[in-house]
Amino acid sequence: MNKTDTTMQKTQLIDRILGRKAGMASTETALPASTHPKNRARIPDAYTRFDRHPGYEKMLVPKAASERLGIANPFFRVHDGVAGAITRIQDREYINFSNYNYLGLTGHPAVNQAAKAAIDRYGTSASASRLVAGERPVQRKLEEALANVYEVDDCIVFVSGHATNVSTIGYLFGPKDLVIHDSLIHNSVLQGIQLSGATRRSFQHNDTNALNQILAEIRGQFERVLIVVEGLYSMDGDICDLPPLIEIKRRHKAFLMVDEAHSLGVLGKTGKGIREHFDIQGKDVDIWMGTLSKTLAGCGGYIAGERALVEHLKYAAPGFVYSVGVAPSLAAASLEALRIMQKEPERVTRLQAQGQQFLEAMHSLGINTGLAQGYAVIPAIIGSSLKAARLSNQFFEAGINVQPIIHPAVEEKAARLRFFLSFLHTDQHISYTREVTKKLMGNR
Amino acid sequence: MAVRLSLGIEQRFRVQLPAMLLGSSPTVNNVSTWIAGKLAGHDDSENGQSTDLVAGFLHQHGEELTRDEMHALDEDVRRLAETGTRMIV
Repeated sequence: MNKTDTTMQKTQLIDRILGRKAGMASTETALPASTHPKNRARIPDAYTRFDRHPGYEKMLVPKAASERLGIANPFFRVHDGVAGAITRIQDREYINFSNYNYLGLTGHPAVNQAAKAAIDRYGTSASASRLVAGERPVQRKLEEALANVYEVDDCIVFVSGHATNVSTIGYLFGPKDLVIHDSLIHNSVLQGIQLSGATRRSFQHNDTNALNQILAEIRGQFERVLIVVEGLYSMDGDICDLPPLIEIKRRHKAFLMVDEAHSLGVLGKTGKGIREHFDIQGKDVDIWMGTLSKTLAGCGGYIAGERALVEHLKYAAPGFVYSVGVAPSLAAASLEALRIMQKEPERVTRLQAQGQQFLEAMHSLGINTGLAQGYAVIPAIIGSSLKAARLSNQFFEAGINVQPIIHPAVEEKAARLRFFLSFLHTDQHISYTREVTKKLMGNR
Repeated sequence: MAVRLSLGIEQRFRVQLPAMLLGSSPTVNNVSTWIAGKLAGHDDSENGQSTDLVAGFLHQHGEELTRDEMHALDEDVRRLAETGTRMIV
């Protein structure tokens, strides 16, 4: 093979690896070439049909497997009523462990009333982006109340928790930056990093030494660096070790972002989250992120931090600027929920006690609860996805609704049943669940 | 490095490596398994694809099935792909 051949092959190969279409430069002007019958025939059928999309085809395997093994689909069950400790599905009552109603504030009469009053006053939609269509006082009040929880300057509320992470990380960081995250971080953070174009690295779950080491090696190669962790990990039920993270972010001149989606209302003596748990100043973390759909009984997400961060996002983060503002009724519901959380800390105390009680019940049966520390999220690790789905159905038959969580939501071969506790669960709910667990999984 | 490796493999084995393979998980094990599969005549026909899907699923989800069960599952998947299905009822 002569030298020219190799060079040409190399160029073609690099093009292919970079995903460039062959002869891309010429196709712009040569439109007829792509419509030529011969070229049209070369486009595989799979590229023109949604039922041949690789992602869809992959989904047919569990569908076929569950049909063959007679496992009913545990997903998208239709509930009739509030997502609380008890739920109604097809006219039967179930003890419900598939809800984020941590403090029992979704469905709370005062929260419902606040939402209704907001609807009577403002209708059901904020109409358009707050930047142009204007503010409703309740949206600002919620943001002020949330900023107060963290004792920071200000707060911005987005219409979706997932979009909060995507838009914030995606907007603030760029190709010269590094975002380094815990290996079990939520999908929304990964999507945000992808959008930002920043370099992505992960460190082993909760291993702050590994984080420190990576930063010591590569911090210098980047401009801005963001470290992202979660307060309470939603699939595993363990918490991050915040004090050393703050130490590390200072040492390496990085920003620290803490996702508090599952920790608000769950951690800390009065439910203020991981900050209160470790008795840390709000200002010691650069970006506080949280959601409105769990403890706060609404729908949406927020970022709290210094004024320059929040006001910048309000004028520029695409998920805020080019999106409708949070519905006044949802803002009012979350604001009222936050007030009740602060007025009635006994809800938090009880939830924490129940978490410990549930964890001990599982341990007494020898159930593998993984990393769970007894804070409202307690998984029973199964391994096989089909086994987890089958067990979920068996619990369902016994009157308990608990969802199987399978790959890609968790790591491969780490399928589990995930129990979410609510303030509304009674001791009887927990002891009955222990009995059923013993019967179904006791011989493990 | 990746370019030289791909080129070498293409010339030696006369198979084209998908860019994905070197991008996502370029372990010796993965690459050699892939080449072996190609040389053994696994092509990109419907048959090959469906089998890979089933094997991939079983691996990721920690399932253990016998060869016969895998084959039956494979048939089911192909039938679903042909007839179409609903996944949310």
